[in-house]
Amino acid sequence: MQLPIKKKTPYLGLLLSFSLILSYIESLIPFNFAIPGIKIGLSNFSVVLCLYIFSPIDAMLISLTKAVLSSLLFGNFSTLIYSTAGALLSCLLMILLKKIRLIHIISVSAIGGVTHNIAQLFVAYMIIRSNGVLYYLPYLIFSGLVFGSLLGFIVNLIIPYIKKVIYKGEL
Amino acid sequence: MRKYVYDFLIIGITFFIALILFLFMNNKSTINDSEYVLISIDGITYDNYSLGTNDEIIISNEYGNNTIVINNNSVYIMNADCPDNLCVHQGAINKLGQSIICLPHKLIVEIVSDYDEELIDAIAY
Repeated sequence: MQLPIKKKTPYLGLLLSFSLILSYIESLIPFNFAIPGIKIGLSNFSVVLCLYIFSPIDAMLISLTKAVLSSLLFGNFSTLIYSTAGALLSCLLMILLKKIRLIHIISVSAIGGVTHNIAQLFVAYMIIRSNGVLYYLPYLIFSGLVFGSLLGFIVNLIIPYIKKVIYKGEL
Repeated sequence: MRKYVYDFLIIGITFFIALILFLFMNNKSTINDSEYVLISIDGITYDNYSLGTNDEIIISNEYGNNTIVINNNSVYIMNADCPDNLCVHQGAINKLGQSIICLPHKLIVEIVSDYDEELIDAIAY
C-alpha cells in the first residue's frame, strides 16, 4: 500500500537527513587503510530502506539528493561528480535487481555498494586517465560486497519495525 | 535456502570477477624501463633511482635515519631509527604502485612510472 505523497514526504525528509548524518559519521571514522577512497557505504542505508518500503522513484530521489547534498556539505566539486555518478548508477542497478524478484535485499544492497564504487572509480579513471587508478578495482569490489551485504542485513532487520511505525503509527 | 540461489550466484560472480582482476594485476609485475623508485620526504621529491641498480641509500635528516636498499629489482628499508620500525618490517616491494612509508620520518619510498603519477584527491560520499 502506497502512502499519499503528503504523508510520504516527511518520512523521505527524515531518511534523507539521516543518511546525511550517517555520511558525516562515516567521514569521521579514519577508515583509510591501504586504499584511499575506501568507505563503508553507511549512507546507502536510507536508499535501500526507501527502495523496500516506498517506491523505486523515491529511492532514486533520495540517492541523488543525498549525493548532491553530502558533496556540497562535506566535499568539493570533484566529489560531486564522482558521487552523483556512483549514486545514479548504483540506485539504477538496485532498482533493476529488485524488479527481478529473484534477488533479495542483502544481495541488492551488496551489488548497489559495488556499483557505487565501480562507477566512482570509472569516473576517476576518465578524469585522471591513469592506469594506477584501476589498481584499486578488486579491493573496491570486495569491500563493496562486504559492506553492502552488511548494510542489507541491517536494513532487512529494521524493515518490519519501520513499516509498523509508518502504517500503524506505533511499534 | 533454494530461493536464495540467484543471490549466491550474483555475489559469487562478482567476487570471482574481483579475484580474477586481483590475480591479473599481481601478475603484471614485470619490470620495464619506465619504472623507477621515487623517494620523497615530507611530500617533496628527494631523488629517484632505477629499480635495476644495486644501491644503498642512507637518508639522514632532522626526522631520523633510514637505510634504503635497492637490490635484486626490489627495494626495502634495511634499518631505521624510528620507534615502531614498521617500514623495516614491511619488507621488499617490487611492483608498480607499491610503496613503503615511514610515517615518523615522513619518508615515502614508492615505485612509480613515468606514465603514472596517480593522486587520489577526492573521496565521494
